[in-house]
Amino acid sequence: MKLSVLLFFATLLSIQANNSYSQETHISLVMANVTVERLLETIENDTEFKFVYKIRDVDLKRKVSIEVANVTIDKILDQLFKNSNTAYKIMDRQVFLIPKRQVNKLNAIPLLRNNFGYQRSIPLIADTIRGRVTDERGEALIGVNIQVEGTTKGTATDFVGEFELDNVPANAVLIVSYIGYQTREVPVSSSGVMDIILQEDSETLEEVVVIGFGERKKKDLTGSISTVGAEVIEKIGSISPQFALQGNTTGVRVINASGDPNEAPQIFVRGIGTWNGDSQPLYVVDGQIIEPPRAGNEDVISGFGLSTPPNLFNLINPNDIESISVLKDASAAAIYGSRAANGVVLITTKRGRSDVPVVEMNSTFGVQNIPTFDLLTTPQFISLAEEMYTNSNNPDVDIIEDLYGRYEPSDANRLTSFSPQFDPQSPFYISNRNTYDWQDELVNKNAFSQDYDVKVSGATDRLDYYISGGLSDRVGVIYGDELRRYTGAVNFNIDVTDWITLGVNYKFTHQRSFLNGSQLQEIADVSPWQPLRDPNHPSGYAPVIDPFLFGDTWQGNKIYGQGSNPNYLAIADINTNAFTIKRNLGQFYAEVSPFKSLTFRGSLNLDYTIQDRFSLDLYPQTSYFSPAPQDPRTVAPNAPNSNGRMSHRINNIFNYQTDFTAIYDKVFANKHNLNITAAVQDQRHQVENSDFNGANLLNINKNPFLNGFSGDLSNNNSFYGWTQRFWFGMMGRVSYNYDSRYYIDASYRRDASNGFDDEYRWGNFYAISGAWRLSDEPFFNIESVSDLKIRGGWGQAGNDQAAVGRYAFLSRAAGGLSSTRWGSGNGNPIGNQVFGALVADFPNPELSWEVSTTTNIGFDALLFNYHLNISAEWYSRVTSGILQSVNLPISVGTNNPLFNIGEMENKGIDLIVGYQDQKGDFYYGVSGNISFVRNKVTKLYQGQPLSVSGFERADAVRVEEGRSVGVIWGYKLGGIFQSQTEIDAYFSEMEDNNISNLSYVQPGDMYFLDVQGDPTEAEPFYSLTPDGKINSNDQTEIGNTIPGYTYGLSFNLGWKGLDLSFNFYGEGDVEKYNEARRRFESMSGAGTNYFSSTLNRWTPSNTDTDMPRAVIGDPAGNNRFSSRWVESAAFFRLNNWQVGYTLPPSVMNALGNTVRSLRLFVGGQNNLYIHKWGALDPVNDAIPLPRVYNAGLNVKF
Amino acid sequence: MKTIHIALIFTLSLTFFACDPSLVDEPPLGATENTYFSDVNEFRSQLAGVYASLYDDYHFAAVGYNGWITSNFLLPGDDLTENNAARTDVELFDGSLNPNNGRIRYTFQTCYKTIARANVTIDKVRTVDFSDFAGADEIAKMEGEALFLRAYSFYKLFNFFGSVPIVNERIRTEETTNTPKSPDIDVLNQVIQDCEAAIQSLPEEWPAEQAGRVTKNSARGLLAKALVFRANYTGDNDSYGQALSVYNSMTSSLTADFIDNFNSYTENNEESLFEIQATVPSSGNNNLQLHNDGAWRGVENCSVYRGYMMEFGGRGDFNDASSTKFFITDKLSNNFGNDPRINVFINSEDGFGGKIFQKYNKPDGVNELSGFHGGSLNNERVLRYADLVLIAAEAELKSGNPAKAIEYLNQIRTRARTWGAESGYGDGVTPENYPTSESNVQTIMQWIMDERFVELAGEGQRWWDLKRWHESGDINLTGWTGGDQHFSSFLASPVQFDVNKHLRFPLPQDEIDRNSAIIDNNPGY
Repeated sequence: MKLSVLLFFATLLSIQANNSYSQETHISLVMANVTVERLLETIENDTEFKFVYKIRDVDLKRKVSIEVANVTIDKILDQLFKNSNTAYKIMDRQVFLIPKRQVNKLNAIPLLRNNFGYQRSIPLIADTIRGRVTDERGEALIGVNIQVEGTTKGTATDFVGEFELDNVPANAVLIVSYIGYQTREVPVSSSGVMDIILQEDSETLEEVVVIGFGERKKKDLTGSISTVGAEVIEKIGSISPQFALQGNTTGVRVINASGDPNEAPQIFVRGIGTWNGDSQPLYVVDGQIIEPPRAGNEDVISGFGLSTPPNLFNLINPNDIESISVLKDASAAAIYGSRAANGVVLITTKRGRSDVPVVEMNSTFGVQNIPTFDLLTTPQFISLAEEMYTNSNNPDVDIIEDLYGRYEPSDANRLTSFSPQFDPQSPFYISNRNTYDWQDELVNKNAFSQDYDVKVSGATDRLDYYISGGLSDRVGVIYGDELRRYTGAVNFNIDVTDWITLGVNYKFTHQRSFLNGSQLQEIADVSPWQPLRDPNHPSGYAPVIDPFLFGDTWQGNKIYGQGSNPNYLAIADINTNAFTIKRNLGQFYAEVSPFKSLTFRGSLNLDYTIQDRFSLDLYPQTSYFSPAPQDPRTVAPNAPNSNGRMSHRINNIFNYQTDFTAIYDKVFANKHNLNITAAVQDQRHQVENSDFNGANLLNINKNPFLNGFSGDLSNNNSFYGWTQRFWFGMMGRVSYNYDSRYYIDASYRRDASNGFDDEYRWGNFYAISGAWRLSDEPFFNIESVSDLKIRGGWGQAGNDQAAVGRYAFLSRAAGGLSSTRWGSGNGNPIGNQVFGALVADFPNPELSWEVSTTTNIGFDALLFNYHLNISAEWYSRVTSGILQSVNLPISVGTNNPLFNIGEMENKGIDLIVGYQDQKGDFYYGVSGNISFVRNKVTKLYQGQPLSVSGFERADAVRVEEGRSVGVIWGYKLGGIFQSQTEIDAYFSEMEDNNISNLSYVQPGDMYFLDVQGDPTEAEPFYSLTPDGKINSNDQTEIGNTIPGYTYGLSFNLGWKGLDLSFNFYGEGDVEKYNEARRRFESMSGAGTNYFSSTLNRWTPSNTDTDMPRAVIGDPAGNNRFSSRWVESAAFFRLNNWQVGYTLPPSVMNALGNTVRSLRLFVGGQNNLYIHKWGALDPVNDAIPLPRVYNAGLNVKF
Repeated sequence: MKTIHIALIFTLSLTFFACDPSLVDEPPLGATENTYFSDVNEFRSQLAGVYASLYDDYHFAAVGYNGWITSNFLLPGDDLTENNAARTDVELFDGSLNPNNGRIRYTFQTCYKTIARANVTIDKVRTVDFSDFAGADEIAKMEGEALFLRAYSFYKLFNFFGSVPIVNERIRTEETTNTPKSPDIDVLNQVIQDCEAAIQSLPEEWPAEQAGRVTKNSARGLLAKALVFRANYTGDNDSYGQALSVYNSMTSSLTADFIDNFNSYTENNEESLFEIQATVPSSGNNNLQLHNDGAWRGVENCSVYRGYMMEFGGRGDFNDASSTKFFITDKLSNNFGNDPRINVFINSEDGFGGKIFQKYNKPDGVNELSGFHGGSLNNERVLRYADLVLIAAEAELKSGNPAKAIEYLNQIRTRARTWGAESGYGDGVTPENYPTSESNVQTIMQWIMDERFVELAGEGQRWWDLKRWHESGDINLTGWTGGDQHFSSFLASPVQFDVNKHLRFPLPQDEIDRNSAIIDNNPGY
């Protein structure tokens, strides 16, 4: 057979599923001084082996001599190509000959698709092509899609797997695709008869997963790893790539902190690992451990109302990410031992892959909207205020005195401390009953966002490259907020020689947010009669106070009563709050392979971040728009004529890491696959804080952000400081598998952290895992099961987050934190400053690592010719030695220490099921997953329950042995008293120490339940026996903020150029404390507005309601922290969806092929959101998740 | 190519050797206890931290905005009342006086914070060999200062809560963190013991630039009071004699001008025994919302918040932020309103009918407000000699020397009368001297009680006096109401005082929950 053409189609005719041909066939050959071409031909003639290669990849004219007897083919090939650039790969009876440098790619990428080329200059022999498509077992495949590349011409195989195509051009290539199998590109044969064999889908199994210090094929995984790839990440439409994990991974809960993109989402892997620290996973970007600023361990300068540190991952353009892997169990994560107790998120960025340069441009435009609160109108608001006072029978509370302030000595007193605006007799009475809903103006409608990026990537023989630049520009959903981000990335990898590779991977980000707006609840929480604009005021904004109403002395005379709110519009327009982050993330590495199986790699990883918070407060102007009565002339005592103040805080964060890795990777006897990895790693994290404050700005530029200040020492204030943290670790891992059937994987890591004292500094973390590919066993013959693997593991990982950088093992002497003055007297009231120093720690020298131990067992199955995949896993994760900030008795008087005391466990099941299929041009896939988790605290310091602030913002949660860590703790609501008789009856047998005076309780008030009793010797914290008293010991479990289950559902389908994808995410069996309702339904103070739901409040004529009566001062404690405010926070949401259309090749042809491909899409986020939450959004009522619609295009050249 | 190889090998070795395990041994950037206490300045700084903890008692935002806890001292008695029902726990003894009361908790916590800090000073003075340090003699005195500050904290704890844990050593191990409650009287005995020890090492006075530090007279004054309290609570009359001998060793004197005791320009004077050194931090910004112990860099709050005892629309914006005003009770006003020591603090034009009791703020000019939030720089006089003169009067009376008691009473009345005449706030007649011939012990005791009522009105002494006189049988608080013969509350809501419960405030629930050595709260809570 001529070797000048590609032969593979012929070679595939009779291949059996049996893989052992190459091992069982023994060849004897004696040939001297023949060409390679001749030799190969001989082998083909004498055996069933067929060689497949590109002519340019093999030197066919080379003369060789060979003399072997009874050897397997690999021995011959080893000898034949020993000193050439050709490598080989044997797959059954096919032998692929390829350039040596592509060997890795061959392993990494579906084989035939990218590395095996074809020749286009085949002469046309027949213009009708007939063929048959079978699987590797020779079984016909029905409905296989056959398409002529570059045309719309195509067909599908029939019931016997055969097809026929007319008028096929001479140099045509057929694209043969079928779900569950690798897509192949096959040049038409000269004979016009084609038998095509499709290999079973390698996508699922051959997909490469990043596992930390290396990567593995998915089929070879033994640990619990969830991964999402670029195709998912590119479709999320969010600025923050973590959301790609939401709904697409099991056991990984991603919480949107807020609708504000500056706020970092939280990720919880398999429950919650600890209550001390934020229980967040370790983040590793391209091998570099990233330390996000976290509350408690370093200076977090989020500010401007953000509840979380700046969102680190905004700083990576999602389109630059190749994959995100989440190492969920310790057997996978132990490689990052010391700090992996809460899981590890590995982010791998893109590199060049294509042989030809690809230029890709993306642009997306979107609009965002958030829902708003439904509030009372001004007349309703006033009548509610009056009703609150009417309803009070406390003799010390009176509307005329306490609200109107009619008995106050002066109008100034009334206006600064009371609300005469309600008083019909007052000259300040507001008779204009207009209603102003600030949400109308301060919530941006259709907030516009635009994202652009351009990238160029490619690969040559020795170099691959990836260069990208992006711009993201987003108007916030709240007036005054915006974000603009520039990103750049370069990734070069150079094979300097056959055994040396160098690479550099650098990313730069500049993100600036203007955060002049407020949160939605603040915007809603105003007196509805207060306007934002006043055409008669020179500024155009409505002032909030009238400070000189009574002469030249500044007084905070509020114009709209005590509920007067800052005029957020004016403040947003006048003041400037900017938050800028600049990040340089660069890795440089060198790899040396002294021989084929061994690689040494050294890398320097540099991460330099500058956080910069700027705020310019032009208080001489804004003081008029704020109800806080500060005289701008005296705000800065040393600068009476200042135009404003500025503060500028800069944190330089240096996060440097050096790694040295050695990897030995070898296959013995074709079946014994061994990989040994060893590494040394150290990390230095240092933060430099500097802060400049100037209170005396004299010149304000037109662009106040660029305003500077200088000089005036008496009004400047600055400080400077450093913090530092260090880690050092050594790790080793041995992975072995026999014939991809039996796997064993063991790892060890030894780590030191400067968070602990000498003797306790080092931690050892071990893990072991294994897997068994049952489906490869000879006895396994269930036809419908294509692949089945059982796996399990055990491992430990650590966490030092609560301790590192705090030196809690030492007793610190903290100077300059408090002060006093001595020496006043004799006319001097001030004295001489003496700075105090506090030795207030309760050091715990025995402090050490928090350890999480996980055990997991599960299986991965592919069924029905790879159409259906199922993975299920059970796990148990026990965290022990939790670095608990122990609440010592108050009488100890020191700071509370950290002890390694607490323990808790998370147990759960992760399940994922997917199905995909194709019928002709139509393909579809559906995938669903669900994760169940149960969390239980098992040990606490002296068993004492703790109250900690919630893992999600507002909820105050209880940590108590035997309960979940997310328990909401409060009173249980009984109901509403309908009559005085009921009240008397209830309190004749019950006392409630939340009520200061029983006689103020009236019908319409709520009562709460006596569910527990005071502590006893046997029950030291509370007794489970009710005791006829309602006090703090009756607070009990009224909800759980950790969802019992989270689930995701995704669909994707396509037909010709059209593609659709939908991704849903939901959480169930979860409660949250409804802070917004408590704020806007409390009806106990007359100041700011309430929800219109309060129209349904209890009145003698409206008794059938669950909304209590309105009463000033809340004498019955209706608003106490109770189940009244706890609601189901379950939801089901269309996270994102996208409909795309790729222009057909005919159009591209018509355009002269200047554009390789062009895809248009429309999509959205959160457009469907099902929940029963009583306010706006169970995830966040401060800035609800925006509903987004977007559209964009992707162009490749 | 060769160069590349060399560069490469160099790089690899560099990364290998760049990994530096010794970095994890780096000490912290700041000082630790092991390296501190190496000179007198470091000793003094730590001691200053003990003093600084006392600002907590007068901090505006102690338990959140408007959370000041001085009401716990000022309101339970019958000298002051409030107008706006914002502190009904201590004004009305209603249901809000319970173990979860945040201000009660803060009071408790503050005392133990001071004690823990004082214990560090005592520990260091006793264990560090400072004999070679410059200023060794000053360091030696610091033990006395710390002992006094600890005694003062136990004195407050005794009066607020009665039976509490006695922590008189640094707690440094987990095993010793749970201290059981001691009987009330042991807490008082700790005050006595600490004061006695403090006197040994304290100086008679400090240089003028350090005025305000604790002196022998501070400790003597507190000791004499504590001894009299002990006698009240135990009926042990020997304590009166001991109190008198301590009193007699005092070298303080009454100021000629009564107002010097409440004037920010005459602080730390001859009558002063111990004051809270209200001041401004270095920047001049005294932010009432910021705690003194925070890392605020010069804007911490070192002032005394007294907005509730100042007129409205007054001198500093935050002083108007008080959610309630403290009024003089009708009981005090009706009976003693003519005394110059009362009427000097009343301004009939205050907008509240002359009811705000403005000690430390009147007459105009005595108060110094500073910082843009307007905290008062006027030192709070915690202990002054006039108090001790009256204590001595009481001790003499109980020791059987009524004439001596009356003599002491007249000292106080003479100063008031003379000052009243000279300043124009009095008529030169009121208050008249009592006849030394009176021998009815009940009558004289009533005089003493009335004198303390007037002289010390609004200084946070009254409730603790009422309690001890109830214990000693001089008065009976049983069944006291809000009426003018009793607590004389301005509020219309009823006082819910229960003598079996409210003489002691509840221990905070957190202490009960966390301290395994304490199961029961005070009776009734």
